[in-house]
Amino acid sequence: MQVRMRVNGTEYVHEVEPRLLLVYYLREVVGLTGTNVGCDTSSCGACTVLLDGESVKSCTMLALQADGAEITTIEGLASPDGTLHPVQEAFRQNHALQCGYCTPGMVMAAVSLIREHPDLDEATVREGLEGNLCRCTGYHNIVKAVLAAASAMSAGVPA
Amino acid sequence: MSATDLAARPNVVGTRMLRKEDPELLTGEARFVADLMVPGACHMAVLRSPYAHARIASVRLLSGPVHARRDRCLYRC
Ligand code: FES
Ligand code: FES
Repeated sequence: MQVRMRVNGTEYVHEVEPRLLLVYYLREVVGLTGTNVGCDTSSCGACTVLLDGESVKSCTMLALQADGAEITTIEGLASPDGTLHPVQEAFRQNHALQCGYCTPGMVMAAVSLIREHPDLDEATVREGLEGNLCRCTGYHNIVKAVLAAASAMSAGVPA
Repeated sequence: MSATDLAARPNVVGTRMLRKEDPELLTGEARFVADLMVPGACHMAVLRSPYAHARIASVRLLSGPVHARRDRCLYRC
């Protein structure tokens, strides 16, 4: 079946099998391997992307369900000149990553969380990122980074 | 080593260092093994026994394209 979506600003049209998951569409058909697969079963959040601005686990939906949508993956977050998005920058500054496997999903989930909560506090970050698992960092620096990004963004650092 | 040499050395002990690998990991450019698309790569799956302690009575290789490739992998890779 035919599926059409905009991914990081580029329009794609492909014939896909109806059973193809969005994450495999992004990784194997579009070729954007920044979105990782940790579990394939909606548990870990490594595959989180933005669908029309909202975070979704891309292993939890079919490519066909994203037909007509606007998708942002980790590759589409930094500016074209290479300047990191404030969430990416805050992760870097706060050492919120080690192996980096959960990171694309964490960052995308955080972007959406910050957008949804103008007054983000620690409890909301912890609850909001519950669906994203990290085997390395112990979460503290991730929480710190998300709070730092939220305050940088409310202070006007361009997203 | 003289005192001036020491002063000229970058002082890294105790300072916060930004990791070199982070920009790639943060932008999706880093490549994990699952990201490598090697043409003709063999794939494998492990089917574990549901029995913790048992005797293998027989091993049956099924035919068909998938299994044929599996055989090739067993001998060639
Ligand atoms: S790969 Fe999608 S939630 Fe783990
Ligand atoms: S940094 Fe390794 S899983 Fe989160």
